[in-house]
Amino acid sequence: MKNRILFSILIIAFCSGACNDEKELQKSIYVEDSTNPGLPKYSELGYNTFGAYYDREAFTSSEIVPVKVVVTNGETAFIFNGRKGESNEAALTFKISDFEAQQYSDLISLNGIMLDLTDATHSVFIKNGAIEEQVQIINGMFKFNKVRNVIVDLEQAEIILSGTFEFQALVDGQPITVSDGRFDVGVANDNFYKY
Amino acid sequence: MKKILTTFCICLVSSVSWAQDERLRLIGLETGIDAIGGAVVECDCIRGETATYYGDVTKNLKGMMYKMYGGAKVELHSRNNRFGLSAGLRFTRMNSSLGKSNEWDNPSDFFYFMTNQTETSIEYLKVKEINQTSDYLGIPLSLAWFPFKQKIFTLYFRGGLEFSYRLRTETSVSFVDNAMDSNSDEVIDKLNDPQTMVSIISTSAGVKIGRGSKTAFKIEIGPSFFLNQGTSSLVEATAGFGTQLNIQIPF
Repeated sequence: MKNRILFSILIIAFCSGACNDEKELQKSIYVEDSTNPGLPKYSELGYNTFGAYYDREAFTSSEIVPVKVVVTNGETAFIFNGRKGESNEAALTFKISDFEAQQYSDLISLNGIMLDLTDATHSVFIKNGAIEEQVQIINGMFKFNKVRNVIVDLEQAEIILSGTFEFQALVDGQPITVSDGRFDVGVANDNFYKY
Repeated sequence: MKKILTTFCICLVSSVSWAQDERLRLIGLETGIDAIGGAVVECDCIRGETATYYGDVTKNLKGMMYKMYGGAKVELHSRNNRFGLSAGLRFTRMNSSLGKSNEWDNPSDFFYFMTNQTETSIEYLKVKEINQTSDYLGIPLSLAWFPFKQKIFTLYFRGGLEFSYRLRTETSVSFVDNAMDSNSDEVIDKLNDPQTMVSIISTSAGVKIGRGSKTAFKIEIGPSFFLNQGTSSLVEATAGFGTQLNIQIPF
């Protein structure tokens, strides 16, 4: 940087920002949606956030790894880890049985795909605390609005999955509604599993 | 803004009318430096976040800015020597930088700069730092007030306005991988050009060293405030603080 010394001799140095933590594309950027308080604003830039209203209560990403993609037994599961309300750990899992990714870059083929969650090839699991159960979908959809490769310095770094979801389901015989769901998450080797 | 300008013009006209007989007139050179504060420009193309979950996109990026200037000006004093009105020509070089690294920090620090996005991909480059230098030619107008009788050391206060025209701008990008240097233009093209005109209002306090009718040195410090936005492509300048040196000769 030119004239660095000049910076150091200035008695009063104004600057914006101070810290110098390591930066990674994997970190979350939470921009609140003003029209849907408590949820992250919809984005398609890999901000590593997701959110939805679970019976009008915000369920949002709060983990360092907000999504894990697990491919096993020919099924691909998208596991969204977060919190419901103030502090309740929760997870939402969407399983697609007719799609098997061999590696994370294969997820690009989901671009623009909308899943009808009532279809028998798809299933949804909700985890509240330590208890996870498959829910009975009444109606709903899960759409990959945009799936994009992230290229850093001309090399592939990750895949960004961006989209929306909503559904109504029965949990323990009680109807629940998950609405205004949105996700914008990055998937790379560190959160893609196949076994 | 118009009010300020009108007030200034009134003062200027008044000073001309004062100059009917012998009054102290000074011609001199000036130089100064200001540190400038402001926020990092907001742009989706900059990805420099950190682990802070509820942060904003550009948090922890550092935007730094300063200006250096030099020029010549003429100062006309009132009959009682309590006021001095000056105008001149000033060359200003404004430097701004954006990055996570500096001389004291880890030089491997970088941020991501998005150069392109399509339906199927987003392309980033790892950038250590972006530097921008802009040169301006401006007209500084100011009014000085000498509340005390002038002696060898005389305290004074000054308020001023400056209107500058941007002559040129040069932007450079430092990448983590030198092999990416050929992509500099892709980064620069994403940045907004600085505004062509810059208006600054300033105030300062200073000390004049020298007898009234002799050569005098002046040193002053004080804040300045930017009246328009977009001075830099990297930092949204709002205010500055700096010092100015003058040497003035009666004529």
